[in-house]
Amino acid sequence: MSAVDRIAVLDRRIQDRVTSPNHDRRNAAVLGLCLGVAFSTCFATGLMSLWAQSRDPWIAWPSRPAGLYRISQGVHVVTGFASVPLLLAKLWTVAPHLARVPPARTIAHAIERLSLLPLVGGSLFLVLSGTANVARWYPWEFFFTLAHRAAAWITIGALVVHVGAVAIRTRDALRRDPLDSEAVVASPTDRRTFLGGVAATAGIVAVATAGATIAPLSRVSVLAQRRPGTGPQGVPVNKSAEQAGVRGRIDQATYRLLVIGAVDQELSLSLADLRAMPARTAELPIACVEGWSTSAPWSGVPVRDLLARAGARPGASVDVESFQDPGVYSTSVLNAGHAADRDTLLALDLRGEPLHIDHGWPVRLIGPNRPGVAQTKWVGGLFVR
Amino acid sequence: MTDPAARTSDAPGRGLWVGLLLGVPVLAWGIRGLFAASARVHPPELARWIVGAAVVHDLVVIPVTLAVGLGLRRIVPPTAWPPVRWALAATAVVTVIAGRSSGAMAAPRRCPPCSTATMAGASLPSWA
Repeated sequence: MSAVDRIAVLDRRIQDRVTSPNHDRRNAAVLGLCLGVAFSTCFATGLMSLWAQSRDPWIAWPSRPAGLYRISQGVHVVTGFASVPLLLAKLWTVAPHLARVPPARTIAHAIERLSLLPLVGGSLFLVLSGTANVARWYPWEFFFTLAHRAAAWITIGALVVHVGAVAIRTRDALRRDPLDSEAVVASPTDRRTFLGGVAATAGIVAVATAGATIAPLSRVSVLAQRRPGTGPQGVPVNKSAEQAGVRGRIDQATYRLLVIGAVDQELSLSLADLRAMPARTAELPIACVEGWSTSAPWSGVPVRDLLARAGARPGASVDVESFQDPGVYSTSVLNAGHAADRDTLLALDLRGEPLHIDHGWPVRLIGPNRPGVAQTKWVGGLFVR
Repeated sequence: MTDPAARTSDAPGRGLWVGLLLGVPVLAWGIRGLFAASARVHPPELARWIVGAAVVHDLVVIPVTLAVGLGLRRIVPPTAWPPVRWALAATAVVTVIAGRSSGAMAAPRRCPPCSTATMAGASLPSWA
């Protein structure tokens, strides 16, 4: 027997030990298709989130529709969570291939298998790091957002290679009458039980996390890290005043909001001055990048009124500066569209009462269609550009 | 899985080359992003996480799952095996997703693994 024959026999022996229909090719195809849809959805909504957070995008992120970011990011996070059981099941389905001998038979096969490293490692990293971010757990030195973004491009690139390599195989596996499949002959119900179990787990995970953003589900969303209605003034908080280091830093009597930069007349306004200006109330969502969101009535002074009072030019953009510890999120940018939107407010009240300090007392930014990290709290100044 | 003809069709189709043509630039863009922000992304550390995730999954998670499954299958009655298997897998997934609270500002949560275990237990009669 030649060496090639001996390897073939060894491979046959290993693979013949895999008798469970869970490793059936059709299962791999069905799960692959579901994951493809889930990852594409996460990728598209993830790009939207990066666009919304970009300080200098090619096209300005719009301020309308007001709830767009809330929906796109909610979809991103819930789909990402539901991908966890899909991904683990898919990898379990194809796990026997790890033991193939030889690992690759042709150069094309070797390239395909090599592309699985960024695909599998990247996919696992994306769901793991996304989950850790929602739990605000950072067991690494790198900045989550940038690492998650780079890993997403790498994973999607590897996914495109993989889809190219397996497209025909997947189509054939899906077209074939499932009753013809070699594994199903042994146990016709087991394959469906496996897929049903995976679907049930993905469904449970989705329902158990979606209540972070879909209020009617919040009672059953046992896994949600934030829930509508839970938190000071009935609105959840991502980062508290304590965590942001602002407790004791702001004095009501001496507080001044500064409006400076490209203006005709710089402003320095006390809280009484702000309360004396015409107020506006808007029902706006706080939509966190971590997937939770909740809508509430916020009242305060429209930013565009302040800009008009200071004599800023039409189309000005604004840096909103916070009293919190300096960091990536201590400043946010209002592009021209957001700055001019009538509902972009420097809020003083939430549900008719002064803001709780964890919601940014005495003054916070709240505007339509903005990621939560860009709804700057504890605002001390507007720098007009 | 005994049909040798079926196994040889594991070879990638010609679509692989189309996939490489379209996918490699996307992948390269991701790697470019790593190095463009290397001070904050720490490319070597991120690479360790990505490769490490695949290695740990394949060399630890898969063998441990296999061993636990094979071990339990010897003691769990065959009719109870599908719900038991599902309950364990679902509980593991739920624990990974929500086993850690996001700290002081998190909503009060119920024990997530307990929730799944209860659901699995309740569903047992319908499976068996």
